[in-house]
Amino acid sequence: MDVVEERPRRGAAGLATTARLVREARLSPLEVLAFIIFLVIVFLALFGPRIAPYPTETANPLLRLLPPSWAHLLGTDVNGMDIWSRLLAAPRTDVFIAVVATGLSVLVGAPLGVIAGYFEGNRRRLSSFVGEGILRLLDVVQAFPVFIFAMVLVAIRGANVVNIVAAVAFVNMPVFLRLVRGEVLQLRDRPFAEAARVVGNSDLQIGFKHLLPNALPPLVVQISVTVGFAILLTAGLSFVGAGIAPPTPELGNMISEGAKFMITGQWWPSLFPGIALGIIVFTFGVVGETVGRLLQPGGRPVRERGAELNVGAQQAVADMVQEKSEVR
Amino acid sequence: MSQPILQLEGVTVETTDGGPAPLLEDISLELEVGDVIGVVGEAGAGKTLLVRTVLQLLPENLRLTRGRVRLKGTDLGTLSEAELRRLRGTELAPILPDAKSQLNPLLRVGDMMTAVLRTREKVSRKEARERAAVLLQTVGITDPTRRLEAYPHELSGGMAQRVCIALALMHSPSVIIADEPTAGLDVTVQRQVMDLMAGLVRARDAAQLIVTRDLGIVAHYCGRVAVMRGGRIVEMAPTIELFDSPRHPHTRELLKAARREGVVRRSQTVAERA
Amino acid sequence: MSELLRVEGLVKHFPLDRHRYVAAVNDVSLVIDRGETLGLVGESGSGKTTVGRCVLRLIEPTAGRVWFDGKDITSLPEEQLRRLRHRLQLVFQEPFASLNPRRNVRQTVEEPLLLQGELNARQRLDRLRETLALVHLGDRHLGRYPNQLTASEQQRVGIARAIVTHPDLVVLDEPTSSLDQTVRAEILDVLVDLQDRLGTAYLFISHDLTAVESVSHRIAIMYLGRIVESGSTEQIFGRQYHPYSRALLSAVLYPDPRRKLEPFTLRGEIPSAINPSDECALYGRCPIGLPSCTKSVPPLEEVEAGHFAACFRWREFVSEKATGMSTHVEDAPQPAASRWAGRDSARRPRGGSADPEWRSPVTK
Repeated sequence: MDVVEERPRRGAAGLATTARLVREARLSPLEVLAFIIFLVIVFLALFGPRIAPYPTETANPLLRLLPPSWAHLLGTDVNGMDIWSRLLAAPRTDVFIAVVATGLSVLVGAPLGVIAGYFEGNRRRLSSFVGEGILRLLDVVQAFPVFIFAMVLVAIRGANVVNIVAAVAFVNMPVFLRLVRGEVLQLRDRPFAEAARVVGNSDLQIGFKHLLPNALPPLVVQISVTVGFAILLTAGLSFVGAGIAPPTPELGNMISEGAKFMITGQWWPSLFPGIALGIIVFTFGVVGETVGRLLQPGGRPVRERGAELNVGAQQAVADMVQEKSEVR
Repeated sequence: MSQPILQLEGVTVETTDGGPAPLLEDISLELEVGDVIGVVGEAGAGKTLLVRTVLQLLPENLRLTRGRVRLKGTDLGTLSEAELRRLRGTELAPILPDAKSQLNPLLRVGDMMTAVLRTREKVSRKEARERAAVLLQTVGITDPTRRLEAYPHELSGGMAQRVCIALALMHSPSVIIADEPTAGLDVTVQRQVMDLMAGLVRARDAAQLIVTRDLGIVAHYCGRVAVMRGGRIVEMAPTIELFDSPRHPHTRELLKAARREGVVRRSQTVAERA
Repeated sequence: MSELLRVEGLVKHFPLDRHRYVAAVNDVSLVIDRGETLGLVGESGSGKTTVGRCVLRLIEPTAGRVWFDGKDITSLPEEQLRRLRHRLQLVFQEPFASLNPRRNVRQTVEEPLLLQGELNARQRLDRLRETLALVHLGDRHLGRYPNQLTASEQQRVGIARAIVTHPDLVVLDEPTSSLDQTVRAEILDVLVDLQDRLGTAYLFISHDLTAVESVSHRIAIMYLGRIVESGSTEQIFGRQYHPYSRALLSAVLYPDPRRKLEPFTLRGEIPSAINPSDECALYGRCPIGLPSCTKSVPPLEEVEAGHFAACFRWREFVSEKATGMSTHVEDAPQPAASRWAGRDSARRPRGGSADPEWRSPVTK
């Protein structure tokens, strides 16, 4: 996927190039910050456990619940493990599960979405039936509360990584199916779709070669947002004990373990993983929006003054007439 | 010689953020009572910007750096926003392309018209409605009382443009600024709308500025024509003179394109088949 | 000249609900020869675009038949139809919207060749270059995306895509109506030039009569789903036998201020096409309509050799015109440059397309 390629390239580029890209893309400071955090998260997912100053899975009863200090920047948890180290190591588990699960959801959901959208209300009965059938099935899946559904799934199948990935992928799949279906539904009536038919493309070729690539920008946004929420979901499952169990460093079980001690005044074991979780989800959201905007053909800010002006001018004059007619 | 109603004196518009060239440069025009002046040019010639300048509706980043727009002698640049707003609905009436999208889709034609009327004049609702009906009749809408009840989406494009013209005429404007008034309309509807506007301008002692890219409209409905390109008027002349002996190369180019000169017409094949 | 396309009794109704339908096209028949341009003229709602879509079978006609090169394509299965696509092409009204924003010029123009599957990579590239040259585009455009092209370039890419497989017929659906005048002239020139070189036949659908006049051999005028008049370009622009055609032509604003406008004679607007009754569709707007016109739909009658009109009263209509209904002013000085000069229909003798004096301003 081009998107995935795009990110490291942007990050790996030299400082000067990055600066130029940032200028050209007209990123806001918030977006720049999000990209930096994003790179940090990617880095941690790859190398986190290696750079952790303390062992991340070895309990040390002597160091239980130490408050933040120079030795232990964020303190230690109930098992005496360094929270900072565990925080550095945790993204590997969460991000890995979320990314793989989201990838699966896209791989299944997007093609089904193309088919459902393209054939919905189609003149030929069979294909229309397929489209409708997919959608009704979706309604059933989506009628379950996402979280409960994932919990039940894991409860039945057992809490291992494969099952958690499967559960997270399964509950997110409808999101992509619906999104792609919606996009395709409106793209299929655009003249270029008809043009594709005129030159001799088959239905499937039109759907996958011509329409799907045009659904990419919103899809990328959704992928990124969904990864964020998949991390949240993974953490949530672990929090209620249906996910990754300690001592494996994972944000959900860290928060869960630490939560008990909130009332007794030891706030640090769950606060810091909580903040980290929030930042991660937020970052994926912002990065998704930004990449989606940049992917939009012509979505980069228009530089030609003429074009900008014409649109603006017409708008303003229309506003004026509107204003006139709205006075009541 | 009467005083011009609308006067543009060396109007120059530039960007405030230091853009290279002025977007409008040294534009001068005068409209007297009964004048219909056409402004032609291709996309990007600055026609729409000119309309906005006259209406004093420049976007934030643009400014009138030189020149003046005078309406009946008053410099529009010296007026407050409130005064301008009142002027735009009354003395200066804009008629714009794609009429349908400019009508509020949630309001019936009648409600829209009475509302506009009652913002400026103190009349009862009933009287306003009657006047709206009369106005619709003037713009050639048959069965006006029924049309007052219609929502914009129930109107055809031509009908919507007529309603917009009716709205523009509501307060007897002295200058009508028509920006591509028939864009998107069929030829027969275009003909009806143009005939209508021409008749109304004549009957009401108004003046009209028609901004268009259609030389056909200009040829038949304008007394004088200004040809714009790149934010300047490159040529201005009485219509017949301009079409007979265009001076500027761009005018010639436009005329050539419109007339399709030099195109050999296709030989006939139908006779051979018969 | 051999016949390439034949449409007979084409009907397309779009159902609205159980009892109502929009009669977009009613009983339309037409023929296009190889290398010929038929101009299909009408206003919005006349059904001209629907005819074009039915000819390409992008929508399925309700009734009627379409023969392409002697083959009935009305009931051809989708699979076989796809294999015919490279011979039947379409150029769209909106140049930008008709191009896939994610595909560059090369991908767009090469695709029909790939799907046709007859040429190898080398040959495809040659054909691609040759085609782009025909529409005045070059190698530097190959990698560009639609939003990096001007409107004129976009439309020329659209044309290149349509002709790259050397089709026999191209349906041109309002190819110039969203373009500036100079661009419009450019596109029309390209189309005429292509036809001369490749012998492509065109179904030129447009409401722009000046454009239609300059590229069509023959013209058919549609009103509310029916052809009301058809004939050679000279015949149609010379003398109209149908009141609607006459009104339509008189509404054209030629870029010539010395050409006097004829009074516009139609009342009101085009009526709704929902469940039309069997009467002359123009009745009610027509300046010469009589109550008897509502009894049935007027058939197309041959009023001159190759010239057809669907009006019960065409005889009265043309004689009325001859006796002064026409306001064409003859004493206005006619500038030499005007191509529209000397078109006073009243002066034109019957069968006047053979009259060398009448034709001279146009054919030279």
